[in-house]
Amino acid sequence: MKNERSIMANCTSGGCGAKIGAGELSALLRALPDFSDERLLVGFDSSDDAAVYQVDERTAIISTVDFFSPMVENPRTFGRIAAANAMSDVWAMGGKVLFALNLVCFPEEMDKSILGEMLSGGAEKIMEAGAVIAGGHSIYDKEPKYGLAVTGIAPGGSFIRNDSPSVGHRLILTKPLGVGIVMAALRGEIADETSVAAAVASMERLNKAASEKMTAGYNVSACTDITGFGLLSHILEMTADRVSVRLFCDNLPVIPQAVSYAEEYLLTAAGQRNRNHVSERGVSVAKLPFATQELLFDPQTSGGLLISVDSDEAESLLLAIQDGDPCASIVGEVVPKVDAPVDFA
Amino acid sequence: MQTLDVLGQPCPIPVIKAKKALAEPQTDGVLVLVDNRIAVQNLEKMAEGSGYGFSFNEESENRFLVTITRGDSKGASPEEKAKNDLRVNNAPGGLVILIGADHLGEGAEELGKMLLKGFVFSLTQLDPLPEAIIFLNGGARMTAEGAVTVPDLLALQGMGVTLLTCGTCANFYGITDKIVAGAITDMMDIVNRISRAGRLIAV
Repeated sequence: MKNERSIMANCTSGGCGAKIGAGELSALLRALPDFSDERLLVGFDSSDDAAVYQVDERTAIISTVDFFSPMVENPRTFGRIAAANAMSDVWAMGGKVLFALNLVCFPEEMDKSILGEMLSGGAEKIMEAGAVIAGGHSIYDKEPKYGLAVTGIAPGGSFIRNDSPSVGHRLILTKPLGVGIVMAALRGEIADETSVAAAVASMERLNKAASEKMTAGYNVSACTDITGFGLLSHILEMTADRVSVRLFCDNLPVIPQAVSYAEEYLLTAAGQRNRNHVSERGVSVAKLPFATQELLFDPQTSGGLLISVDSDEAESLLLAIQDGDPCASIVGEVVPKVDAPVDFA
Repeated sequence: MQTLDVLGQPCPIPVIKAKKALAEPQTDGVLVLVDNRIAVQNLEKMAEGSGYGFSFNEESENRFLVTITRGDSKGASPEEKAKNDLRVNNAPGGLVILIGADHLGEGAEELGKMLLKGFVFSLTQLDPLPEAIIFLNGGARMTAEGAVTVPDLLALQGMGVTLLTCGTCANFYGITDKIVAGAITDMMDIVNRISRAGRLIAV
């Protein structure tokens, strides 16, 4: 694979699995000065998916940026995934994507048609989202990286936070887990084609439709998108130490092959970092089957939305979302705070 | 003991290479040189889950020498220790049946398939029942959705017989998500089980 056309050959890790660990990151962020601007409705002090800035009474801007190195060999596929992933934060907040700027790092000696493919893949997805590319910035680097800075808008100034779930609400997860594990198996040249196709289709899939459905009159108390930190880290973030979550492990949507790959220990570094982070937060997964544990920690690139919705409306929203995201499933419920932030049913 | 230098290689490559080395029939273990603690932890999960001995030495901040030994239960979970004790003590286990094809015997294939169905049905009538039935290669198809053997296998499972299908085989035939009887397992588990079986019948 080491040749000048391979975009993955020089990459030590790809996709959201390359994210800096949640624990390491929050320690660094705490050391930065506190900015205060009352119009900054959501900043990084709350670890939300995107920043929200109020322009006037009726208008709030949602702003987010994401980029990473390739997790797939095909540059166009990589471009699609990078764009779907970058825009996802806006949809996780219930917003509408307006425009995006490309961010590119690319090796000087590599065939530039590959860069063209990457950008075309990204543009395809921006177009699918009904948004526009407004510009960008590119530099030479020893490994390729691509992503976008995305600007969206909160309709009527209202948006959905990731840390405000109401007790009694159900949690819907819209995409299957296991993308990181399947990509690890692919790196080990063990993955079967069906599993890779399922993982790629899931990563390319826009969270737009699911987001539009949840904002169409449902009582949604919180939403986030699943990233390299894995499902369990995101659930912990969502509980914000105010509530607990009971997770329905039998209902977790998964890419089926990921279960056997996990049992064969085809695991990522990011998944282990997530395991370390979660164990420091007082969640014990010891009673769960090994593969289930690993799926809960599995780093997701361009993962699904995790939506906290009124229990009376959960089935109806689920049905609406399953038309387009057929793997969506009710994976848990929000319960009053107990000692363990997450327990497993 | 073989030393694997996987410095600079991302997960899961160190684990894959270590597993491959440990699967060699004559090996007593492997030394793995990795450059980060996370890779050490991923190797530890594999070693503990497989019942191997595990230890590591932090030679420097980005150099860790991991030792994984076969047949040493140090560091293994209690169940794995019990399994290893059994193996060491040579305690007799029950009957284990290894099914390595989707037909029984050589000759007309159609006949072979009918015979295997009859064979599996007859197992349900055995007293005492086998302890485990392991499905390899074409045999993996017998536990998959739609196979003629599934109803009898589910009956055996209901009576407490352990059914295990080789994960690599199911994966190869693309039927991993269609396995409906029993669980999927790996070669190390299969080898462990057949090595401590009281009697083994391979068909």
